[in-house]
Amino acid sequence: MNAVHHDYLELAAAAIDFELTTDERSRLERHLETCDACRRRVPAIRADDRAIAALPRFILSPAGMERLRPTHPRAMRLRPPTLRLVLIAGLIALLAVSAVGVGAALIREMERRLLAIPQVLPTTEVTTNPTPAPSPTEMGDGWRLVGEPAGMANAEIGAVAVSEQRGVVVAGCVEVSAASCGDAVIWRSDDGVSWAAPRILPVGGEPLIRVPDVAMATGDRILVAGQAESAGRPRVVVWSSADEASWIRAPHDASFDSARIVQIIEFDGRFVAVGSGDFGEPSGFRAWTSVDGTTWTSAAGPAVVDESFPIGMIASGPNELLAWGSPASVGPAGTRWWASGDGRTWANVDEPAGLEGATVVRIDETEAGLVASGTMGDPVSPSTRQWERLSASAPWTESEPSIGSPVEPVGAVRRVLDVGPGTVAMGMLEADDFVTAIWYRGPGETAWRLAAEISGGEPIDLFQQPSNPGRLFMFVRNDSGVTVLWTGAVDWQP
Amino acid sequence: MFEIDPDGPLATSPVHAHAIVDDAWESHRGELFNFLRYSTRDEAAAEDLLQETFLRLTTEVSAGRVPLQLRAWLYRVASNLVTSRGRRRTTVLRWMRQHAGAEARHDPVESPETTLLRRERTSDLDAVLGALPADARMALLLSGEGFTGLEIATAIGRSHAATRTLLSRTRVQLRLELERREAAE
Repeated sequence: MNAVHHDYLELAAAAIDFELTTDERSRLERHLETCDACRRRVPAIRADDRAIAALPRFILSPAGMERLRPTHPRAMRLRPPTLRLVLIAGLIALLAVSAVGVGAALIREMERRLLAIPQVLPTTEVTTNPTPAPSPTEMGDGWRLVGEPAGMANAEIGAVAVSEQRGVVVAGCVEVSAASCGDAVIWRSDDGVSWAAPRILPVGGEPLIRVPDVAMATGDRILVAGQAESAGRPRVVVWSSADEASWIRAPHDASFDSARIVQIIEFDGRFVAVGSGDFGEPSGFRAWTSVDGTTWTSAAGPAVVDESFPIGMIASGPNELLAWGSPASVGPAGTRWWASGDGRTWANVDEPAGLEGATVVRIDETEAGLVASGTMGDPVSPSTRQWERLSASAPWTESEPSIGSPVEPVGAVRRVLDVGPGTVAMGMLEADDFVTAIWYRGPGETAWRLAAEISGGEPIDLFQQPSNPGRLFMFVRNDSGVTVLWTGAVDWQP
Repeated sequence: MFEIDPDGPLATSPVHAHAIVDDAWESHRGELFNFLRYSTRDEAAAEDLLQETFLRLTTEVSAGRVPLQLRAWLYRVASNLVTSRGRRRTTVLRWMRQHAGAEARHDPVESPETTLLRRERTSDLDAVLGALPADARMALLLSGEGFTGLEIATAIGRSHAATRTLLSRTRVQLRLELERREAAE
């Protein structure tokens, strides 16, 4: 590789951590248009970055955790190096002698383990609302750590879908590492407590480069989408199943090349998927439709084709699909909007009234209307916001600040659910510290209240028990990188 | 979580200092240990540096200097400690580091099959990372932890331009080396 290509690769690599100047970006784009070799390498450099972030986490042993705790009396004395050398030598010898025995014990343990979650444990890490306000409504009992669902602890959960008929379907990946997703798998549960053995999704020999992060379940079908790599390029993969046991990978369509899907919904008798092109970075609007979930057809795109890419979609009315997204991966705040009457033809649309200047991250449908979550203000230090639209003809209005937080309604929301006559939201209270938070609005209330905080964890998703919507479960990745499940009950009491 | 008073130094009571350090320990020990473990390639060294990082936090907080950007501050101190250690480490320690890199990872719930697969898939990346200079490796790991280029520059004590050059060159070097290994297989 000559120095010119090397320079452009360094420019592309610099864009991961630093913002390129307009001139640098233009030069890079011009070069990539004509250089196949660099165009192949740029996504690989970005994939390396993701692989580093996804390297297996080294976990501090419980003994080390206790010994090194800053407030532990012994922690004030550093261990002498000589003693450490002796200890290490002893430990290595001990490990060598016991390796065979430990291996055998592990295999026996594997045979013994059941795919069931341990019984509910007492609450250990939940801090309930530190500033409780006079409340006309109590949410119910506190949140408890259920445990580590067997087989999921070291997996990466990509998406959760719930339907009355299908129960809870979790799509994810085991062995997320340098090679990105190892095996894409599906876990299913009727009640969120007992989980069937995972099913491995067929990949046809193509390595998966993205954890399956789109899942949806209807009465007769479950769909999951992810991304595989073929000939150095990412391509969309869609799986479907009618019985949860056997899975079919949708035949490849040329429009799946260099693309990804971000959401699938059922609309007007067909499945509609939206996504973007993927040339190392998401770029451009793409959409597909399918009647059976297996054969997909590319939709007609919007007239204005730019680098904006969708990040979500919702049925915003009986005859309208609304998709929203970002103008670019690095760029000004704001949101691009696309609409369609049937999912087969899409058009650019203006910002909905009331959302001018907002960066919308997600929109959830509730009984009361649509709830949008996102940010406003300076992209470097934006403040989280929520907006609501109570009817298809009404403008969006900003939600009331939450009780105890006069500035922001809630934090970064990951999921909003109708729970009986009230609403529950889950997300991160402070993005830097990975504090998982639960908020609620009781029946008839307009302000959000903080119900609980779980420190030391990154929220993954919140779902309801199909047979008892008042029982909620939440996947959280704890600060050791282990996926754990929490549960809480909602019992609206006046 | 504790609210940190942004209005200058606090007259931190021992109880308050204890609580702040404890809170920081609970929130950040896992990610810092992981960062130090990958940076040093040595479990015992990572533990020592983790302990040292929090001892320094204890000292700071007890003196009424509560870092406003606590997570970034912890990473900065940890990065400095890794660099300092790198400068003074001995041949014996280097030997230990190499052997520590071959140790099984601490994961009490990981099955033997899972461990085998994980090792196969990460070994190349792990090995290439391990062969990088300490500052280049740290910069990549900090980026993997979500820090911006400017924050990484502050943490490793280099200028913005130097950090950009270091990171971009290292990323390309990493890619080419991984490709070389893939081709050799």
